[in-house]
Amino acid sequence: MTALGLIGAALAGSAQAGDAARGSDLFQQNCSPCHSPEPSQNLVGPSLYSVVGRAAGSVAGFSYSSAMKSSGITWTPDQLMAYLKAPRKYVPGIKMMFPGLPDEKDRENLIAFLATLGTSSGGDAAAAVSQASRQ
Amino acid sequence: MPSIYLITATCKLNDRIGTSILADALGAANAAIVTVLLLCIGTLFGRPANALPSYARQTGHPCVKCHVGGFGPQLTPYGVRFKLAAYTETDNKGFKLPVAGFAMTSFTHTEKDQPPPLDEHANDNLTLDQISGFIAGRWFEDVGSFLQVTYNGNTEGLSIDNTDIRVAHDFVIAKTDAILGVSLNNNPTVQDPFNTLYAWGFPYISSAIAFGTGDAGTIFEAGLGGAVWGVSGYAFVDDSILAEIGTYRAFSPAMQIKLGLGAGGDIGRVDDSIYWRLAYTPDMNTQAFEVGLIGFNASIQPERLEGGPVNRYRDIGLDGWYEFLGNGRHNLAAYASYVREDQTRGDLLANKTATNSSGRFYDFRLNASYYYEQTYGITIGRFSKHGTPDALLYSFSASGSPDTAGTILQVDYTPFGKQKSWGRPFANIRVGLQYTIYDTFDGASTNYDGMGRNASDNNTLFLFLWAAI
Repeated sequence: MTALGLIGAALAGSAQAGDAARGSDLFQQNCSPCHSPEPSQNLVGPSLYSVVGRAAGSVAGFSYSSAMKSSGITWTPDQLMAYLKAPRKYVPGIKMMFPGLPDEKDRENLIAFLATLGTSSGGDAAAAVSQASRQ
Repeated sequence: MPSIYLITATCKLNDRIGTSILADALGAANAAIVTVLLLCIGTLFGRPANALPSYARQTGHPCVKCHVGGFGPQLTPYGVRFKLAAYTETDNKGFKLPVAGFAMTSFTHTEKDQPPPLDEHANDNLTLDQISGFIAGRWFEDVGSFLQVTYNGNTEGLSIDNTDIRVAHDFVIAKTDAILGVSLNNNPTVQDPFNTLYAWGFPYISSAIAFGTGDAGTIFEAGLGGAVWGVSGYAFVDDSILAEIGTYRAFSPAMQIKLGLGAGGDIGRVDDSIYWRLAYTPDMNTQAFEVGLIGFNASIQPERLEGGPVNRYRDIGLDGWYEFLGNGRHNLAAYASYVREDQTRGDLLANKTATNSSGRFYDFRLNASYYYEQTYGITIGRFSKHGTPDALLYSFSASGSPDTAGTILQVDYTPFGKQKSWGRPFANIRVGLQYTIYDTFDGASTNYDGMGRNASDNNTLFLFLWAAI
């Protein structure tokens, strides 16, 4: 299975369960003040374009906390599910002041939307999900 | 020298005197007038500050990110954390000059003309209340400030105003997130990140030439602001528990003059002061709350005499708030505080400005705001002050009682400050109408001054315009 396939398989487990349209609303409400969905647009937080499958602390030009840089996390859907529940508890010492999304369904929906922003392997996340589901 | 309480008692009076009479007062070196001047510091210091556009420019956030209603000073949970992190969050787009300014003008009408000494207008005064400049924002990675310099249109003076310079860093202790910081500030409670206590509590704006919340108050309202400097260390642990401890000393009289506070601004020597704070405030994203305790102890020797008698103040308070932020369309915020103060009046007694050697004062505040679309706001607040009577200390009252209670209603309109607002982050305006109804003033609802004036005669209509850039 290719790297794209692995990501796709993971997405099929979590992101596909979410509603990207509802996730878009959640993104607007919770994430957009600090994060851009566009590539290379860093705000208070790093760009979330292609965040799914990306290594934590790896966006060029963004000044990460040492806690995030040394976390060793790759943002798979499962990692995002755990992280977004309570970010500062999951990775203590990070800069992000967002308290998290306690509702599991909200997190699934948000991750489904994040997956539409592309994957770090260069493919489209939605396509990856579709491909994974065909395999 | 008269007491801190007299300072507070007469300060309102001074506000109403007007500049020319104030100048005369400056020329007269008697204790009563010095008291008046001290009073001036007590109530004019710490005028409100709103959402500062320099923070918005620094972070890229709209005002509503940190402030309920998009103007301030009511902080959202995010704003609380921004402050505790030393105002340093940035959008990483280069250095932003941390400067901002605002101006406030207002119209004040009281139910009956104000008692003498009168301003040039006994009623219906249009005033330029203040023009402030700020150094507010990130200096370095872990250092930031809220530093305000104010031109007061009522006294025509320029002075240092609320100041809070912070150093803070995020640590991980036992796998738990902890912000550890230090605040250098000049007004007890100005460093507090919540809107329940004196520096940042409701009313966030009020007439400088009317009656406020009465002629007496706790030590927090009695002239410490600006006349003291203090250092406190704090820890914000697990994104929910705040613990702080600090101490204050008075600036020397010479330094107070340099800071623009005037020759009569000295409250005396402040010793043995301890300020402490404990609070629990979890952020649940769409809603948040806080419950907390505050304490302050201080000894004040007004004449700065070595070995002279001192007035001791011991304050302890409870506070709490709840905010519902939801999706931003409907915002609800409610705040409450209760402070009890024990006083031991050594210097007051020695100077025959108090009858009793000790006394107690209670201060209760409760208010709630609703904002629609973070634009249209309505707030109702209740204040109630009660103290043990003292014929000399509270001589402004015919009954010797400082008790004052009332209700404040406010409606306001904040057209900008949202994500897609025109002119963001430079255009920031709030227009509001506030009405204060007094049930009791200086110990009585009728004839409180022995000259026939009733509490309701002080009911105040206050129309204000607040603009920040």
